[in-house]
Amino acid sequence: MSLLEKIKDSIIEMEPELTVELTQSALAEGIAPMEIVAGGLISGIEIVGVKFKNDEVFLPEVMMSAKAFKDGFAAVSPKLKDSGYEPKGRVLISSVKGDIHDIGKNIVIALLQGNGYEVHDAGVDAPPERFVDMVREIKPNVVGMSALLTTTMAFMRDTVSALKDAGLRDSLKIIVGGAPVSADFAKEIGADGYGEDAGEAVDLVKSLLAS
Amino acid sequence: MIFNKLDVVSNQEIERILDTSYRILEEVGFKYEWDWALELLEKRGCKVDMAKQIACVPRSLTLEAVANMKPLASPQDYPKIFWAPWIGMNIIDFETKTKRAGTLNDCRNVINLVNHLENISVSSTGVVPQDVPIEISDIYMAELLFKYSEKIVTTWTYTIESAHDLVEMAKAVTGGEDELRGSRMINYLAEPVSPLKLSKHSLEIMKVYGELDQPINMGPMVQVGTTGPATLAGSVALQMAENLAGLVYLYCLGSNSPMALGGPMQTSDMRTGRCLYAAPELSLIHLALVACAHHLGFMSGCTSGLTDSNCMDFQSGWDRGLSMMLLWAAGSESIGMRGEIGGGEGFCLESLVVENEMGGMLRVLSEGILVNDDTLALDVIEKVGIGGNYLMEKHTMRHARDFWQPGVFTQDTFDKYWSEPKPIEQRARERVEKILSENSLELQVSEDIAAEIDRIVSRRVKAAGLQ
Repeated sequence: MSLLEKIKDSIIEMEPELTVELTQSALAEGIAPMEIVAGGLISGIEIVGVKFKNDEVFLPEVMMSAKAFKDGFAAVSPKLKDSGYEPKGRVLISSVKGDIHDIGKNIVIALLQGNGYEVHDAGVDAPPERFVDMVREIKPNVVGMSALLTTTMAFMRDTVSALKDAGLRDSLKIIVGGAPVSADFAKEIGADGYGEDAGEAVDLVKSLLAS
Repeated sequence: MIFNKLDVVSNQEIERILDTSYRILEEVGFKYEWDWALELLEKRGCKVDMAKQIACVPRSLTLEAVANMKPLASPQDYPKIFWAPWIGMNIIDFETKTKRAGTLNDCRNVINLVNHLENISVSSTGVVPQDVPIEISDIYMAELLFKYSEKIVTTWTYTIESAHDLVEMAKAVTGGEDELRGSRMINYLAEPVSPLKLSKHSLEIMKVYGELDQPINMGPMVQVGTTGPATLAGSVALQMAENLAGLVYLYCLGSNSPMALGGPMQTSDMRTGRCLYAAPELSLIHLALVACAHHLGFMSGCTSGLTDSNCMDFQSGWDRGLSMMLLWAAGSESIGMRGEIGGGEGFCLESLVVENEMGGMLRVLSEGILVNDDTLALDVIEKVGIGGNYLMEKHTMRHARDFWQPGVFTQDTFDKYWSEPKPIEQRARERVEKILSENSLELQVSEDIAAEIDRIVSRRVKAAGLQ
């Protein structure tokens, strides 16, 4: 079995430490960083993604595979700078002002990272100004907002307005999610999409960026 | 009647679960996100890390709090409390099979309906009204409940400002602070953020209500496998630790709030992480929580009567019936009448009517079998003798109306039913329409008190700069 095959399998088998070890070995053997990412890391996580959609792997398993991908990618990324590699997209994500719930947001982050997106986590209880500042700094393609509480979902609207007022709205897509949120609410506040669960959030980002 | 309780954990196992909860609080600690609360806990012997906002609670303090705080109702209180506290975002429209955002009118309809559903003891608005500014929708819900509910109410409080407004409304209704203290006007559901955190605003609200001795239901929502361990015992231990963290805080405040322990735990669909509303494991953990709450001498406030089904089908009936029946059999004082449908997607008035019917059956079961000379009926058995019947006996006349009667369930013959078939949801819809068309929402307080409540709402709307 080739080293790239082993990297792919380590992701499918949810072994982050082994993925890092194998990635470092591949670099030491002179395999091109782009080849490691495409032939090893992405090949593995794509198979996990298909299995997740088919209910063959469960959420904790897919998150562990995503961690293996993320750690392997971190090991190879310093060498990628000169190779022209670009992430699939850049996403800024946070729980909105007043909301300290983070489990849903963290699951979405893990799955996005596992799908090759560069994700910036603004944490929890993020006021609209923090979104604006971070959008200016990071220049994401997508901003994701999460809320679990009825009261805090109102701040999603304020954040959309703040991004509009700052002249940043048209440069990015906005997606929302969380227990009290719905597709209708997303439309009402001027967001571009709503994901019912983490898997749907990843599909949403893919489709929004493709369009 | 000798009532043998259903136990899923032995006494020894309950003690082991609670021992783990005490150890979690002492060794891992609990995050109280308010410095004022941390200073209070430090004075009472907790080891506090102010930078991390974590207090490690010594077992001795937890046990002292358990021994001194009061239960909301004595364990095994009868009749049981039948709740209708589901407050969702959407109303499920039976006619169109769609969900839509709740409105103030929906809230009025739910209160009116619950006023006339004989087996539901606690009222709520069913949905969050979204035709008012959502930031202060809690004020509107309280206004409607305080003015129009004939029953005890439960509602949400979002902010410390709302807590003060609710207290002012409750004082207006009861007649003042002393009267409010002796009442159970505000039933607050304190919700730690699992694992092991209470937000500043929850702690502030608990302080306001705790200092006025209002009932507090601890409602952590540990989700097995995501915000709790993937094993039932570990998640129950964590859930009880979060219950006790709230109880210790209230004890240190010097509160006399009566309390219920337990809370709406969740299991997860481990394929997607989604919260589940009905699963066999969910019933098991709630049975264990009832046992733990009772072991500590507290009333249990656990969830039942929920479903993941999206319609009123066999699954919906089984999900609701199984969880309600099991909690009833475990001696839980509170049984859910939730009106919820579709895994928390919305509130359905027709569903509440069906659950009311199920609650009526559980009430009959709770009465048990009365055994005395009259009920053994030897006299009448001797009189009728062999081969007769009992229909015209005075004894039969006296007891003929003792039996449970269906409201929306059918006991028709096969042919009669199919000559004009009406599915359960249609029969439930007819009862909803009958109740709402025949009964208008009547003020339950004087005009003066209603005006005072309106004044408090208007003041808040103005202060918030909202219309």
